[in-house]
Amino acid sequence: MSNNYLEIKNLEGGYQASQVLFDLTFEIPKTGVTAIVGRNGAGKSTLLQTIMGFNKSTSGSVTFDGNDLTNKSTYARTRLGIGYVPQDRPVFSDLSVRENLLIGASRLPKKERTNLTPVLDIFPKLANRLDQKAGTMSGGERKMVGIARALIGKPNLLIMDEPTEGVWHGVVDEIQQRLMEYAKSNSILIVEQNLDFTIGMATQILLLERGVISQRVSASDKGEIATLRKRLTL
Amino acid sequence: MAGNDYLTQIVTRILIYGILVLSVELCWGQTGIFTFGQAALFGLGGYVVGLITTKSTLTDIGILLLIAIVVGAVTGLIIGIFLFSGKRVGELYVALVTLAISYICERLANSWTVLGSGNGIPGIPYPTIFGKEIGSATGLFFLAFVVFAIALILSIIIVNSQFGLTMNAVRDDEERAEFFGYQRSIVQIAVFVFAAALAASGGALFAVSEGFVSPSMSGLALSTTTVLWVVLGGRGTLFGPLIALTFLEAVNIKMQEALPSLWPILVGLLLLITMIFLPKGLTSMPAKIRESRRKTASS
Repeated sequence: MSNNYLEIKNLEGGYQASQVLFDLTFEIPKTGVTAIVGRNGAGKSTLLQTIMGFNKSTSGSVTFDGNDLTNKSTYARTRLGIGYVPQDRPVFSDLSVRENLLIGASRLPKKERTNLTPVLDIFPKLANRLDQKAGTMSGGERKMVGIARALIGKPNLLIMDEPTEGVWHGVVDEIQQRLMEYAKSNSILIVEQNLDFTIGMATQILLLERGVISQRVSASDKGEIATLRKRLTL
Repeated sequence: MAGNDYLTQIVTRILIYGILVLSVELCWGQTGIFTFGQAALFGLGGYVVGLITTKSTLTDIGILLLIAIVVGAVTGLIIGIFLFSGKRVGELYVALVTLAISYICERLANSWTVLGSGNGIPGIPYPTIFGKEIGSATGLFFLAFVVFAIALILSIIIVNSQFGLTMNAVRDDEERAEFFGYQRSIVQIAVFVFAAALAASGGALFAVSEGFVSPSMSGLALSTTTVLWVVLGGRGTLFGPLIALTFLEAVNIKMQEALPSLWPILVGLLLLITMIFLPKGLTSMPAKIRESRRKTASS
């Protein structure tokens, strides 16, 4: 039995004629946080969207917990136990916070679908805002709802695209703590520009440059982290 | 005709149109399927019942409604598969295709002799239930009331269920809905089929209560009017469009007599004002007033 949830082999993809991802191979272990960092346009979001099946890969394979995802649709991938927090439009604006959270519970047994307690324990601030329309919340709060909605489905692997973008730093710290707690027994794949946030929680970091993984760093390796910082700030 | 019967007939017609409005609200208001084709399905139900009752001795309303619902649902399934089973299509595409379907149906009804051409199908007999004729205005009202109540209760149950949430998610963001394990196309097709069955049942009731069907009941004018009821009442609320329908139909009769040429212009103006100042419909007015009072008080 593999120790990895996600196994990506020789993955290539992009948008129509334009290839963005080149021969990517990496694994995501069953616990901990894997971060993908890189400059704008490196292909980070494209990679996540390809893993989620929103963009079709042109070659290679994506396997989740032994299931080949390559030809599976987005909703089928979600049902296997992958949660996804998109970078933009993280909430359904016209729906209340409660309704947004309930939508995330589709893969749970019927009896568990209305139990919001587990995510309200993680994000207690949302408990007082359950009846508020999600579209009227601040950017940071919307991100929080987006993450909570993905978590309510109890995904084995949580994929997040820029969860701290536009979020007030106080909320960023809170999000980081909650996610680190979650990653003790689950797996998180995160794309993030905020390097301090990423380094603070990641167990492995992959640097993506022009659609290619150019550096693999263990979070405990201070020297490698310093090199990575330099490469990203050059 | 006695005055009371006339009033009962108007209320009966409002209940029947209410079923049609519910079908548009479920599609557009709750799921984001911008349909201009519900009148075609309404007409289909009416014509099916018109043909059956005038070519045979079958008048049992239970069987007639069942046939209309099945025919409507199957037609809705075919249109739904065509519209939603492939790649995502925009609201405008759905609106144009369903508009074209309404136009084709109206032209077909106007020109096909089997359907009575421009004259439609007159002389549709009163329906029966357990062998007893429903021949009074009151009887037809109760029939329409029961079917409308069932349609409304079913709609309320659906909208307040987990599936209802999924419909709203698809309406707000089709792409995002798939990220939570929902197959967008299945949701859209299921809603379209249910709404088609509702519209066809409304058409069947219209045929037996009015005693005739005509091409106009499946055409663009009724399709557009139904969408207007939803816009005026408030898209995304089950009761808003029903209130708008009741108000406009009730006022319509008096105003068409008093101001025959000015009334359509006034309705157009009302629509325009609503869309500018109350984009969420007339039923959002109390909330809007409350909000403005709160702002005034806090300043």
